[in-house]
Amino acid sequence: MMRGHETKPASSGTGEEAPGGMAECPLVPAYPTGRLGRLQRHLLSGEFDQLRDFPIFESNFVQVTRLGEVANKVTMGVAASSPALELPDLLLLAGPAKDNGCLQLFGLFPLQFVQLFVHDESRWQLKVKFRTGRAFYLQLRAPAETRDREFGRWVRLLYRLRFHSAGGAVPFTQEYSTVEDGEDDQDDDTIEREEQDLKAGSLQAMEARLDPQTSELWGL
Amino acid sequence: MTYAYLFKYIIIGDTGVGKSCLLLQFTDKRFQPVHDLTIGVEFGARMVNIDGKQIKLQIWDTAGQESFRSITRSYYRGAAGALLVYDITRRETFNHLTSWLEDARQHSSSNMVIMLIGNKSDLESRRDVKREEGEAFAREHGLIFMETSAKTACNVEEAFINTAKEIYRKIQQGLFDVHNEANGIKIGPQQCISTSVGPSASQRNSSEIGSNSGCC
Repeated sequence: MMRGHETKPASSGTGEEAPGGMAECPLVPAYPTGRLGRLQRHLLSGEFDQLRDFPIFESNFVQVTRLGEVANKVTMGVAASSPALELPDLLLLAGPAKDNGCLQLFGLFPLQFVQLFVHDESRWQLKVKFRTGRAFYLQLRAPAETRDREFGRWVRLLYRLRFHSAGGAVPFTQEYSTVEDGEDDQDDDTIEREEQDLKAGSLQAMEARLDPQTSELWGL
Repeated sequence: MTYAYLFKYIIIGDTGVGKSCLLLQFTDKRFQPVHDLTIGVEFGARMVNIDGKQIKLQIWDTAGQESFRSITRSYYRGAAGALLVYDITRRETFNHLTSWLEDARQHSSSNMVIMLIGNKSDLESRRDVKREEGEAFAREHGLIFMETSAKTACNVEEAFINTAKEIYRKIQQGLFDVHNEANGIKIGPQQCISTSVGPSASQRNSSEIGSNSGCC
């Protein structure tokens, strides 16, 4: 994929759109200012009839390596294929086209085959892992003043998806991502104990920090 | 980039037959021997020129694995063209064509143009399905037929473009109502609005070619 020229998280997306965040108005869920997100606007442009009415929660990211090196821009959204659904069921990934930079939809993936993790909360990084084993890391691109709030909505969403699908599993991967990547030599028992401790601690911290009243879309 | 029409295509068929490789060869002109299993739908797009008209092909590459099938078939709706792909070296992928065809016909417009593709024609020594069998199946079910190789690019352009030509012919004959979204055809905008043209599409905007170049 194309390498970007940013060396740290940009303060905003392309500069023209409103920062990604959840809406006060349920009809424009991702953008409190009433402006639609890039992905939603792309889907509304008329080329994707089947996808244009999906409620979407989206943000702009940069793809980063596990160690945090910046690669390319990605817009990621979760969508509900039916407004009747309690939770989103699709993941949408888009990015700039190589030739003209216009947003291009890359793929649509049922969330049941994708796992989303918080990879590094201090760097606003998520990990996206497909059932096939393919995984990548995304760092939120948002203005500094709204970044924590916007990332918090993703964390909240991840909790909801996890509680829905795995009976309470915690969507944090940072503490054991090295194990997944085969670079940690801790024995399994130690890791398990640490995970349990971290799970309890993380849960408490998250629940206390997030504001449940900020959005009407999936309660994010 | 403006276009006269946008045609929605779906690529369907068993897992491992080369659907994603066909798309990559068509949009990027490259072959990737090892490809991740497709989950859900991946998208590609490219401009082609048919009869002097710029036409944008929006291609939905669907997962072939059985466990994803109930999900992906919901995206067949509104396709103007389908590439139904089997692997000439794996007879079972040919045997499953009837099931794929039933799915496609059940979930999409009756006017949809279907191109049957026997892929991996470069692997002649491992051939398990005769060309004549593919031709007979296509004749019996009213499909267009080609053998292709995503690896060598043989007939890949032709498969996508001949499908577009057939859709265009149907439009000219009035068989497709271009104002009915369910037919998978859209009239293009007058100017560029956040287009999703595939990589390097600008280099390939005049890819009108003759049918059946016969390299396979």
